[in-house]
Amino acid sequence: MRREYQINSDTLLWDDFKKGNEDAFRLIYNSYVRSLFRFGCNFTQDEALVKDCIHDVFIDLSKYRFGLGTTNNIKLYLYKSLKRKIIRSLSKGAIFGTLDMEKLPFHYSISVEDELIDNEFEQQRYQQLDKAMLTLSPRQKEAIYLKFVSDLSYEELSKVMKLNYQSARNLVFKGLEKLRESYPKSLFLFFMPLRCLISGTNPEGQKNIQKYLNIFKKSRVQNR
Amino acid sequence: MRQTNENNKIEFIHNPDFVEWVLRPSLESDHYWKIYVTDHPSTKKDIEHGRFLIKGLVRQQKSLTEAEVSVLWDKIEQTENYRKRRFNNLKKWSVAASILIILGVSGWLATQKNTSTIKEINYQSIAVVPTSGNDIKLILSDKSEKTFTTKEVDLKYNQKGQLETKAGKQIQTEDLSKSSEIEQMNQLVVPRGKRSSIELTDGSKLWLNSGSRAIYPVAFNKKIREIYIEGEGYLEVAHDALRPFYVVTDQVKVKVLGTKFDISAYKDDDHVSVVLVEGSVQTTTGTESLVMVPNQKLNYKISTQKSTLEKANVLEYISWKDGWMLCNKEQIKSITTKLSRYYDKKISYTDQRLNSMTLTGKLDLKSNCEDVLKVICATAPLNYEIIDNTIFLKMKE
Repeated sequence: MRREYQINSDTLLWDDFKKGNEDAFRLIYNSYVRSLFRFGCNFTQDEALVKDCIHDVFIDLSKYRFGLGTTNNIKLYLYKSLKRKIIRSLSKGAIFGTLDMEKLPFHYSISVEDELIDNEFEQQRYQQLDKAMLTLSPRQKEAIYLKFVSDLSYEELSKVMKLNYQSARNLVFKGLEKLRESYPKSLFLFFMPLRCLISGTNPEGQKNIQKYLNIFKKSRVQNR
Repeated sequence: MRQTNENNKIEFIHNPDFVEWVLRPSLESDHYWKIYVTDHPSTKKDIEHGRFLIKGLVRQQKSLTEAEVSVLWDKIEQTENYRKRRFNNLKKWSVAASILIILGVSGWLATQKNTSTIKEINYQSIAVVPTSGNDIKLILSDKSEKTFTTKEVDLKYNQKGQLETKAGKQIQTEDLSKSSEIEQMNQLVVPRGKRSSIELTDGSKLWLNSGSRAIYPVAFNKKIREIYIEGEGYLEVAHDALRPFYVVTDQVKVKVLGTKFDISAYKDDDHVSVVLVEGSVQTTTGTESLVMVPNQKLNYKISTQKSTLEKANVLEYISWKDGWMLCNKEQIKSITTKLSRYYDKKISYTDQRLNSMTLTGKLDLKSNCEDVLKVICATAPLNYEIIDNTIFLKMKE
């Protein structure tokens, strides 16, 4: 008897895990711990607190595994659970008991330091984007983060943020529009051929980048 | 003009296809957007602006190091074990009355377990028959051999303990259950130029490429499923959470829950590769363990004992099982190595210029070797010549 499974979905892993399979538990941990940590670090600079919350999320997961619902979306479950834990931990330290959800910070800065960026030109673009990021509200940032970095659907991100579907879409849309407006277009006065844009890592592409960088520098001097 | 530019830009960063291309470019989407820019040159700037914006958004912040990941896991495991022990202790006192029964049962279980404990199997000692020779051979546990003269053989072990063999148009069924104790090992040897498939009792299916060998039990035991492969095999493992599936080669061990993947571990190659098509597997090389996700290729270089993970187009690695070979900028050298294994023909060349050539496209392997070479020679400026059973490739002058 041959059984056919659609292995790409989480359902199977989730089922195994609920049956008590330790490998499945470990696989879930390994697949999500890094992205959960990055997500959590947006709410607080306290990395130890985030780690403790992740610890609790997985302990809860294991503890209640036999009673868990039929949800088959592991990722959504983990994100929701982690956010809840972090908010709870943060409000323990808050002076007035509970945190104002609207004002809950979301840092989300664009990393500029990177060994891979070896030219000034590209670095400047990322710096500008990081600046543009400051114009967004924490919730806009969180929505964009969940959509693009965590790769959640609108449906899923609305659940993590406890919003309805349309508000979630609006947050992402308005956030992106704000970014687009404050992200200087002047940086794109000179554009590279698409060929080198796609294959920026090949030697020819690198040469092209250098060439356009030089033109860009010259033009800046002239503009002054 | 300016107006259209503005409109386009709004569309780009909100366009899911555009975002998909920026975040996960593929050959097709690269192609699509290349053509799009050629057709709409005025959007070039907007595309780059949007592309950089989206790319910038997903720039990875620092994350946990591997050490931190495992420290955190250890803590979770500790807490969990402590919790379980406490839970068990509680149970022990409150259900004291049923202890006798449990003891009885567990005593029985323990005796059962002994018969099926996992023992390290010495595959080297079983794998005595060379993969050279001309015919596909099936070697049963009592060392009796079955020889097949056809190009391809399909074996199926059904749950009644019967073996169905299909060689060409001939189909045979044989009962193995009477003669054997459970867990006896069978071995299938596929020489160069031949191919085979085996369906195992648990429903998993294995395709063996030319010059390969598989050693597997007629029926798996209750705790694990394990098979040994030398050469290249493609596997579709039936899901069974309670019995993990292990594929053992001389260098790499792959642990599977239920998935599709290709493994290549030829003795004359300096590398072992695993290409994951679906699901998830854990590979172990030496002491290093890695968890793979679909469309990834693990390459383990035996001489340096280093493994690398890279993105892979899976079709290139598994198309052999359906009788064709997909090449994507594949080097002539690698193509001739594969063809030579597949057809059991020596193929060589001396012209160094061939080393810088690559081929892209689909080669039909169902026809004979010469037909395939004709296709290659029609694509690239090459000629071939057969001298003493060896095929020589040359540049067309």
